[in-house]
Amino acid sequence: MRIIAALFAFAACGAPGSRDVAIREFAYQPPVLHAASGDTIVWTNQDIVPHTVTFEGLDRPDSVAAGATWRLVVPASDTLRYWCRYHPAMTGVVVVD
Amino acid sequence: MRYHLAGLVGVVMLAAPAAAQAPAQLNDLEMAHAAVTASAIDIAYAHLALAFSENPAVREFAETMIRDHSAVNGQVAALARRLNVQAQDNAFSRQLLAQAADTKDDLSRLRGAEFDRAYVENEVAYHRAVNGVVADAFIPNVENAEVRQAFEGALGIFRAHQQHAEQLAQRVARGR
Repeated sequence: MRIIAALFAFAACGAPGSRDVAIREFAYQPPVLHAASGDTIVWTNQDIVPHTVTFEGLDRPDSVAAGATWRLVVPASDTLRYWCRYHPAMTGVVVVD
Repeated sequence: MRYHLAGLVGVVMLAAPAAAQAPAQLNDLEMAHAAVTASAIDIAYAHLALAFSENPAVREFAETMIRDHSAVNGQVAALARRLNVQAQDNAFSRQLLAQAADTKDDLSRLRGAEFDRAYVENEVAYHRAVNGVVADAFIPNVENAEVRQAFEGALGIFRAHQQHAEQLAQRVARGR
């Protein structure tokens, strides 16, 4: 029993997790997301119009159609800022813990 | 010659002449038609911008208007299919189109920075006017709950457009 508990504790501390960001009503929700290096963040566009998830220096398609998702494995970093190229007032931050 | 496009659009939208219906008096299907018409007009303005503007920020804004208003019109069309109804043409929609034709003619005579200023100023005024009609005339008077929900969602989009246009207008005024 103690071995099983230890394995769960290890999984909770060491295994990469998944974080969700909703793109809803022209905002990233939450606007500031805390994540660990190696975590996967999943953005889901709940609006009827397309948005982007655009990070400085990240060379990959960034458009997210209505109803679609976009994923990023968090790199080893400090703070990552991102925005929507189509709607400049939309900004978000990933704080890498 | 300075083109006062913004005021023209605002006057037309908010004080419909006697020949056109007041927006609040339209039925649900007529409101849907007017909303689709208003979006189609903005798409047409955006195509003008893509034809005549060389300002990257103005061109990006125009592309966003095409994407977003096309999505709104697609949603309205899908809702109409599901409800098995058809949007109804009406005098208010025809008045919008007539005024838009004049605005497009005026914009088409401009080039360069003068076009950019006029286009963006018109976008600010147009979205302000449309948002006023949707918020104050359509939403309070629409009967079908799904149509009301669609208008509420569209209003959120159009308000974001207005904010974007206002910020772009400041930038264009600074020559950027």
